[in-house]
Amino acid sequence: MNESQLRNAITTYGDTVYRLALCRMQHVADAEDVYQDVFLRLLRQETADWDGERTKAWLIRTTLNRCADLHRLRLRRPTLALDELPDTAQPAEEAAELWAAVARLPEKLRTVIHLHYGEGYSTGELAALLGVPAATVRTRLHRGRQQLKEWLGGQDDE
Amino acid sequence: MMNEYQKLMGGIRAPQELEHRVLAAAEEKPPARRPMGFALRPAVCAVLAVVLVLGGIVLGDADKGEAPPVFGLTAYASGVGDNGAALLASVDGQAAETLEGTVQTLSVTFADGRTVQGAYYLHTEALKTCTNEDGAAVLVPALAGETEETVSGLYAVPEESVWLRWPVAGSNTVSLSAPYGLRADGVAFHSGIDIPAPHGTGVDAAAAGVVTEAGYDTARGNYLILDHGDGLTTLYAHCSEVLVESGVRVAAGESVALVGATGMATGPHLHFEVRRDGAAQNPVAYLERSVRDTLKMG
Repeated sequence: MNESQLRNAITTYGDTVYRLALCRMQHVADAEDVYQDVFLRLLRQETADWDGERTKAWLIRTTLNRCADLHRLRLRRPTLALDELPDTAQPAEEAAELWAAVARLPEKLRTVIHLHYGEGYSTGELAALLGVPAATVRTRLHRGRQQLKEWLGGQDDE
Repeated sequence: MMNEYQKLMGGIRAPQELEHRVLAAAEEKPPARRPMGFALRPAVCAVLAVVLVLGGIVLGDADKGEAPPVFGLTAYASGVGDNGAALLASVDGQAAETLEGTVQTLSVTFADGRTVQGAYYLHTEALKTCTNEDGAAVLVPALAGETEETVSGLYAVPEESVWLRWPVAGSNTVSLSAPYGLRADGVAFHSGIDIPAPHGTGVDAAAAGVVTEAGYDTARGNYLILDHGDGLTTLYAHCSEVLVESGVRVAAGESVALVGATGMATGPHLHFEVRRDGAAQNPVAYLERSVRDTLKMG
């Protein structure tokens, strides 16, 4: 990949990578480190025949891998509060509660919830992305929603 | 509820500065190969920075097919603990899994060039940093309920370590608001740990020794100091009553005082110190894992 392509990729997918890393690491500086690492790796990839979806899928998989690597070196960290994010406007109370609840979810449930509801991936796409059966993705989504409903009350809506 | 999540995401954007940083790094030709450890920002990654910077260890570049260091009989310490312990970055020759829970004779090299030989018990632990009075950063096992950042690593403890008994049988909480160590401002130093417990709870000798001091002062209240030999002493302060006199020899676990709030204490607790040749140490480093597993920060 060349620099101008990298620029495009960052403009198009930068927020996706950042949000995923933030959700996964619950730590601003770690999310920034992952972001930097992932896009510099993208630069080194042979991407001549890649379309947008393929690039995005590669970015998400790589982000999850790098987060897993970094997470090995971290334990028992408190979750991140929404108002701790720099450059983010003061959040509404429900938004802060929702973020905090998702942050509490175990990592496997949190990842599918974030990618499905936050990034719009279907269960089939998530299955391919994460390398697990589609049924597993559906189960994780269901458990994640149940847990959130328990913590937040409200309807178990899609 | 879940479409709220999507809206929430919409409000979270990657900072502009991040993009600039990536593009600036990209302009280096060829693009920099980054070690698996990631770039460190000491202000935020305090614990990890201490671990990796103390030893200068890079974990290997997975892209080049380099595996993380394997383990063996020559060890490199990437961090130090009190009580002679070390966090091992590498012990070349054997896999970490095979060493877990074993005792090995190691030659450990520290970042300052010092090498120590001995038998070590190896175990993976969650560790946190604390700072001793001289400003030296040491690693100590984290207790349940710890809110500071921790790292996980192969922790080597000398086989002949001195292990102390927990001094307050009636309480298993270590105060989170007053942890051991130099605080961030670099000025306030808490030389021990605080163990909250109701008035009158029994305080037991952490190890066999001789009472070298038993008295009262305005800061420590009713206190006593035990000498366990080899320069190791323990202090028990803020007691409502000290039950032994100076010069008396006590056995490990023997009742020596009762918890109180005398001296500069806002509530009933035991202030417990461990010193080696007069230098304050983190008492947690002197507690065996079976004891530590019963404790929590609170």
